[in-house]
Amino acid sequence: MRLSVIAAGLTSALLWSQAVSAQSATQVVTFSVSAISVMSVSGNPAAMNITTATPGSAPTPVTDASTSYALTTNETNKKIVANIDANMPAGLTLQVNLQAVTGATSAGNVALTTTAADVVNNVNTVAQSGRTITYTLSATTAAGVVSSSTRTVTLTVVAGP
Amino acid sequence: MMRRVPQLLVLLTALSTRANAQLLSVSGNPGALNVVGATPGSNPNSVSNASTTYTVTVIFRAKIAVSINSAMPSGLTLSVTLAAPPSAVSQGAIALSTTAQDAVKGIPLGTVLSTRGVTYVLSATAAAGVVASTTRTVTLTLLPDP
Repeated sequence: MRLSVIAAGLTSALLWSQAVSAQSATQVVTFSVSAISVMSVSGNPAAMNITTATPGSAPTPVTDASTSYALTTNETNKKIVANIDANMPAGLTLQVNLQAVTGATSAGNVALTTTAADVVNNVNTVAQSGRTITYTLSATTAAGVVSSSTRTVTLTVVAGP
Repeated sequence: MMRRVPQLLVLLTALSTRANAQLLSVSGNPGALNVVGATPGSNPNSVSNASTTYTVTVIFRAKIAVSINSAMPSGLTLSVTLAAPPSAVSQGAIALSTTAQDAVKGIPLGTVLSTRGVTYVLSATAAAGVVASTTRTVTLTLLPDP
């Protein structure tokens, strides 16, 4: 009797073991990654007020480097362009300089107009934040006194050349 | 009573053989995982799917290992988490590769038709670029857990 119990038990164990070791199930997972290019800025720069000049020269330009931008793109051959919503008053120039993200090239100081101009070129797959935006406001003496005014600067990620 | 023991074991053996195909099963395939957005400055947002389940029956202490049929594209990670049956231990999110990895361990003797969730997460780096729709076959394998 005991032998038969042991034999049956071993047989059962063997078959269960085989059953367990052979068991599997499968699932098919479908996936993709879409084209993504998104950009943000940290906020607005402080007011830029030209208040002085070196005697004999044009008024002294002022700068603001208190803001930054963040960019994520999983695409290649992109660039960042910048423009303002209305042209600057005569004799005033607002320039912007974007620190390049890794692998890209900054265009340096770019005078802003209503026409989009390249500010960072050769942008390829990257995810980076804290890249400095520097604004410079310059005035000629002919610009005269200009009361406080604003311009909206738009930065856009577009396909590169 | 003693006469009934071998009969019971033989019955269990017969049942085990007949029930072979039902020891581990899944409810179907998950929906497509599509990475579509990002927070500027960060890698693209991960996406997840928890719409499927698996059902397991074991008599011996067992574990479940997971693998995929081919490696993921560079910069893409497909992870799976299997919720554990009672008294078993989930190993959490497992980054899938062609090498089998334990996803659930210590499934106890006597677990019968225990149905638990399967959660997939797809993560991408920006460097992964744009990836057209593709598939991987995920295999869940029930193994003895020594």
